[in-house]
Amino acid sequence: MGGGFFVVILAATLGLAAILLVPGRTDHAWFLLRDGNPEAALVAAEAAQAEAPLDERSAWVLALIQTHLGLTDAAETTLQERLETSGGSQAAIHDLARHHLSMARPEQAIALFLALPPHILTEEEQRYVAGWLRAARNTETELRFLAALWNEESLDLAGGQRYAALLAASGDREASLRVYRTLDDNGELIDPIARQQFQALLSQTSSTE
Amino acid sequence: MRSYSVRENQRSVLWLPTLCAGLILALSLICLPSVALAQSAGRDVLALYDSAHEESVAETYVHRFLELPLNHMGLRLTYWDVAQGMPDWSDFRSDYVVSWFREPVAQPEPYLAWMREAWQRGIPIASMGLSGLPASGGEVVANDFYEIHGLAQRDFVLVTFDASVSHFDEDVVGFECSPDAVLPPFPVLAPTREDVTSYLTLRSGLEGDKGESSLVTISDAGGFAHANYAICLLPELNRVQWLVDPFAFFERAFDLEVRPVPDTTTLSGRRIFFSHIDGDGWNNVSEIPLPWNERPLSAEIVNEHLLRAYPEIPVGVGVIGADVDPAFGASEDATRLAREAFALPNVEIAVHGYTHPFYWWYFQDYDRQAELDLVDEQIQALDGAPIDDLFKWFGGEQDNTSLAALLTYDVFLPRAYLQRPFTLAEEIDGAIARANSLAPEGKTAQVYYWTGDTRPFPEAMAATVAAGIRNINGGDSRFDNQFPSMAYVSPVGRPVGAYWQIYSGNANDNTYTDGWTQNYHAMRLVEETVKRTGAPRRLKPFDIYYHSFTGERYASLEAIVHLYGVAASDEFIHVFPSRYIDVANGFYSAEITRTGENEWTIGDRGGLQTLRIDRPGALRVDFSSSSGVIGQRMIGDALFVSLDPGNETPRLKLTNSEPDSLVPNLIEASWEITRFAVDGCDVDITAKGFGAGHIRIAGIDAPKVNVVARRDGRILMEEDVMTENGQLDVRLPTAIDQTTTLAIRCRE
Repeated sequence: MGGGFFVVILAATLGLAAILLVPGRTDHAWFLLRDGNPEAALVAAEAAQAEAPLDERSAWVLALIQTHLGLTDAAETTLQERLETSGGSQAAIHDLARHHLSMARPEQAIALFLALPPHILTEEEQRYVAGWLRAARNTETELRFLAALWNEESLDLAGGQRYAALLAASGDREASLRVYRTLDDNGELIDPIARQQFQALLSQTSSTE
Repeated sequence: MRSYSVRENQRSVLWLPTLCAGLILALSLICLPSVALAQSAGRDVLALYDSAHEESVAETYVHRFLELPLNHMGLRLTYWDVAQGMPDWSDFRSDYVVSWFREPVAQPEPYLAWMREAWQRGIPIASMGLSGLPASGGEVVANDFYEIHGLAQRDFVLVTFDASVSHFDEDVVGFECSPDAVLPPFPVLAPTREDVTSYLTLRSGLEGDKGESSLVTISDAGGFAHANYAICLLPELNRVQWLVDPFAFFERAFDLEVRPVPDTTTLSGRRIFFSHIDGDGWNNVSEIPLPWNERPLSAEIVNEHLLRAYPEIPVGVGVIGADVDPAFGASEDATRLAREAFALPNVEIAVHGYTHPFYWWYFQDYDRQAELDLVDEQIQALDGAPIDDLFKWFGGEQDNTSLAALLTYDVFLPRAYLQRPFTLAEEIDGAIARANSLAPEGKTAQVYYWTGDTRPFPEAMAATVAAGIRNINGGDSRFDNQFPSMAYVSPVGRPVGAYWQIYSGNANDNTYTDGWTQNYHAMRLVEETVKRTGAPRRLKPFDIYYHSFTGERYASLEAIVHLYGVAASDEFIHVFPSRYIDVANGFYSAEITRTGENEWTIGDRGGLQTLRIDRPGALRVDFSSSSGVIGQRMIGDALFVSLDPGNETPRLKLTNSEPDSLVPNLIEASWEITRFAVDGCDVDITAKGFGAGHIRIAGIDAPKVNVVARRDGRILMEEDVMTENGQLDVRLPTAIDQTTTLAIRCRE
């Protein structure tokens, strides 16, 4: 092989590197936003989105820039369209839910959060969903949500105690006792009222037996 | 059922010693009829709290949760710290007593004795929360307190799995939430008197007389709502909601009849709108370019995009003295922008401190050396911190003495500018002088906007009063999907020493953006609070309250513009912040005296011009028998009554009879009515304000009127206008703090 081959390889490598390193339209929009030029960023992001309407990332960047500019309705439309074109991808659901959260629309946010596996949610989001389900007195859904987190071992201490108490209050005392027992075994039954509840269930069960 | 007449007699007797002190029995008998005729409307509530568990008034549940609904019902609170002993009966004025204890008080015996005496004196007592006495083991226990409310404790249910709700009266309970599926622990309280009505009863799951517990009750003594059943806790969200309807509860507990209450939300029949800006971020560089300036300061964006662009929106601009003081490094631009803003006719000059205290308590017993040491220690601790190394690694040198750097590190800073020792003279008087030095001729600073934690100490408050300036801020009301309860709507103000700190109407952008860190568009959410505090009860004015740093970002600016759109609605009257503050102060000073059946006089009301009568039924103003009353308007189920600013002691007479003759009266006006003179069917009006003019008048006994409107010596309108059902509807060109007069003459 002659030297020409290496030159061709080098040229091809440099060409590929150049292609990879040159930012795409979406990246360009992102850099414009980062550099404090959000209006130009919006133009670039809209162009990128028009060029690749199925690209989730370009839609996400466009929504981010729209939010940055205070165009919250437009951002919502972008995120909604992204959800539809993605066929309901988890990332698209999650981002639209977070948008609703930032717009203080708990019903819409929770409906989307509940469509996701609970472990995908951040701890803060898990508490938010559990809290709003409690506030809405939607015991059935709250129980289902807490059960999913419990099964994934993603429920925190307070959540575990709430789950156990809710099971007992809704009549499933055996399941409640199992949860209390697990918490007790893990040394997590510190709250005096929860401990009393556990003791009461234990004594009820033993008297029944 | 409870007996109103017994209590009313007892209350009259309570005031007799004051009215007839030192007189013989025969003379006091003469006094009795006059007491019955002219009687204070009973606006004063003594609020008990325990500083051992709630450090200051601002932290008390009474202030945080109860004072707003009580204010709305026209009641004003005086706080008493039971840790200082119980008050002497001659030292205060109290028509009602309220408490919300979260723990037993330190001295239960004198507390119980005092409460019993209040009960015997016939002063209605509303007890939310805990009794204030130990559950057991003391000389006096909770059961001794429950006796006042006609209750006896039989047991306590800690594990509630077998308990259930047996009686739930939606007239008083279930205001914002219903009881949780997991019922909170509760005492088993059984009524012991026939006058006790239970609005929430739980089946305890226990045997015999322990079977049911009354946890929300009304009796001859007043009202009781147990701690766990007054509000619902939402621990995952760190929020609360009202289980008890505080309006229905207090109305029954205090036996409040249909009566006029001083209203802080309404002027000339419309809901008050104002806006004010704290100067924080004045010198921040904005991301929004201007045609003549690529990198303008935030203050310039606010000036251009808000203050100049919307001249019909009155705004208070409160600068931080040091931000516009070259001695503290302020640029020429900073002072120029203040001058330009202050010169605008829709801008009211205000001040937002000089060195901007973040924590006012720190300066109550100020020690300059301690302040310097505090900051030095924290800066030294930062040297070698990972983030500090990171800065150096990237070749930068973090200036640890700069405010921006210190805030980044989240160190404790007592105030923003530390170069000079703190003095009240500089912080209050100096700030006012600095603002005035930038003001055009004829304008001076009107309001002091509290900085930081907005918790001034009494001497600071007194200094603003001595300087002849009003004050506002704090409260941070929200009522939306993130704060889903009226519990987060603040009262009119907070007592500070001998004065009142007036709270802002709404929370500001710093709150909505989590300390200006994210969701810069979130100030839009103010709209939700405005809706919820507007109906079904008009609880608050509308206040677009933000900081100069709002001009830094597109999203935050866009949010304010959106809110301006909301403010453009016909619901509002646009005024300067100082006008609202005068109204709010009038709420505290107003004295309402009942002079007869459906008849009252109002004195000492300051700038307050509206009375409100909730659920008046068929009662309306009898204009012929009233004086100093210029208008009325039904909004929802409340009657808003406009008073004549020129009359210091108006007399209001309500009647449910049709009037013999029509009297022209104001329904609403988009400008504040300063004169409303009626002569038969004719009316002369003087009004001043902002925005498009809209005046509606009722009671005109003519099919047609001639209207002549004048402003600045020019005739704006001169034409005959048809009335409809005795109502006149006039629309006039936009005014910017201008006075307009109208002469309305009836035609055949």
